[in-house]
Amino acid sequence: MANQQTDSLAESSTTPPIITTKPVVTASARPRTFLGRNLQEWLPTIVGIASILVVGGLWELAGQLKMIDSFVLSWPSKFIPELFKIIGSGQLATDLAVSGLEFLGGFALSLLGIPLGLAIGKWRVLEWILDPYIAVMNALPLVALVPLLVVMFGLGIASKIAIIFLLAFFTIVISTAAGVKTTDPSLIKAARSFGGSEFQIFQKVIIPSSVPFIIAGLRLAVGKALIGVVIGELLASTQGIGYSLRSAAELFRTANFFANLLVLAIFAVFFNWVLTVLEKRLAPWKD
Amino acid sequence: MEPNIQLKDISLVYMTRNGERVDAITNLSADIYPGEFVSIVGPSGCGKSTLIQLIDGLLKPTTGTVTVNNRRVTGPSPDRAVVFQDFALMPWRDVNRNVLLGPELRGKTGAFRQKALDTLRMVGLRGFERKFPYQLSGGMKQRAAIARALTNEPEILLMDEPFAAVDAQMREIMQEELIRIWQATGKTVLFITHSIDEAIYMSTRVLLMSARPGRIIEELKIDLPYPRTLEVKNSPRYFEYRSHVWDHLKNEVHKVYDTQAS
Repeated sequence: MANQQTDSLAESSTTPPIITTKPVVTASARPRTFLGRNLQEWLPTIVGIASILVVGGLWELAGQLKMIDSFVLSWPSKFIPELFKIIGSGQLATDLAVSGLEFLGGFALSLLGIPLGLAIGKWRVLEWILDPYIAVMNALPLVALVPLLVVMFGLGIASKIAIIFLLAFFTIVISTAAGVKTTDPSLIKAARSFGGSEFQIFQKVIIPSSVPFIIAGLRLAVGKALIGVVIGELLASTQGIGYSLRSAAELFRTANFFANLLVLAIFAVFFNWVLTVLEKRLAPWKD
Repeated sequence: MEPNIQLKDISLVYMTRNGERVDAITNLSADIYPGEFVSIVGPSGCGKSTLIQLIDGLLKPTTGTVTVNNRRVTGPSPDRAVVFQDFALMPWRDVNRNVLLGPELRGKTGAFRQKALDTLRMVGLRGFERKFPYQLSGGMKQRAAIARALTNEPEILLMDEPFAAVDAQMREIMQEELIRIWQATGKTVLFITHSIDEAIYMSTRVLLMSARPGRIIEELKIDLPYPRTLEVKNSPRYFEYRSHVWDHLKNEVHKVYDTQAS
């Protein structure tokens, strides 16, 4: 952004240039580009991909040289075909439909944490009333509630939605309330000075200023929701990715286990990426 | 002529969190007339910024009255606008939407669009409407903050050390520009600064404030012609004003140091 800081006054100056010789631009001074972007920008991505390939290659080599016991671990040439097998058989699609529904249902409900967090950040009395419960729910390993939730809601998706909701909801409440409370007081003062009402200040200063915190909360919540999906399904379920992981392990189908794990990893990274993009779009001033 | 701003015997007392009583301002009186450029100079912590907030209506005096155009101030109003020391621009709004904050809060964005563009041109920010504050230099943020205040069409511009956060060269440019804007618009300007030079260079009148609790201890009419060129700045008159102000201020600054030392 440094080049945009030129001041308009400096630009409008009409003094003739003192240096008349043109600067020499050599070929090596021009930045090299790849797909329209500076090669420097691609470097981290390129090194990252190379790292995956090298580590994957070594892993594969260790497998081929029988250094890995296929009973407890797998290697790429075993679990990647297994991945295609579960895609082909439709097992993955069924699992993803169930787990995805649980994830979306629980996560969507937990978005109620945004208005509650805003209210808690705004009204101190509400914070004093609710703080003990939020503190407990945040500190408690909520997965301890899964057996109870299964009793309450059964083995189906309802009990999973419940645990995902509990895990994600309080994270979002806490981050949102923190966002409200860290609003720059001088921005509030400025809005008040320009005649803003309390409601306008909330709407036009406090909420927008909390957006980066809300997104940070959503990102944490995605991680917790995924934990909720897997734990819920591992402990008590009849379908879903967590169920497939558990049955693969119980049947010593290690390659199948790794294929499911890979799917889970891809989704986790994907959601995190979506929220990073969202953050850049909605809060470009935060770096 | 009727004064634009009348401060009558105002005091402000507040309690700190540990229950200490602080007398920020005591028995301060001053009259400011339409079209004046008045600077208030004083040692740090003398309540200069507090005074701005009292006139704007963000704070209420404990005793005494603040009157603007014969009406007692009970809260902020569009006839006054503040330029804050830390700019206080909304980081999620581009320059145009920041500048239109005042009209927007009054539900009059549409009627002020052209005014916003005119003001941005006046402060040299045309072409930067779509930039966000984080993309601007310190000087440009300050211009945006001035444009925001001017767009709201106030009669009185309250400026709280507006150039404290910009670098020395930009400060001189901004001083010249502010004088130009003041002369072009005919607004009343109340300008807070801790720089004696800045106060004398810019103002028609300088008010000196004491160390806390703040009072006006001296007022000085600056009888120097505008534009205040380098010649004016190097004139014996200018240096007389300067040493006069400094003589009065020195004691107050010492008081601040003494209380801090004890």
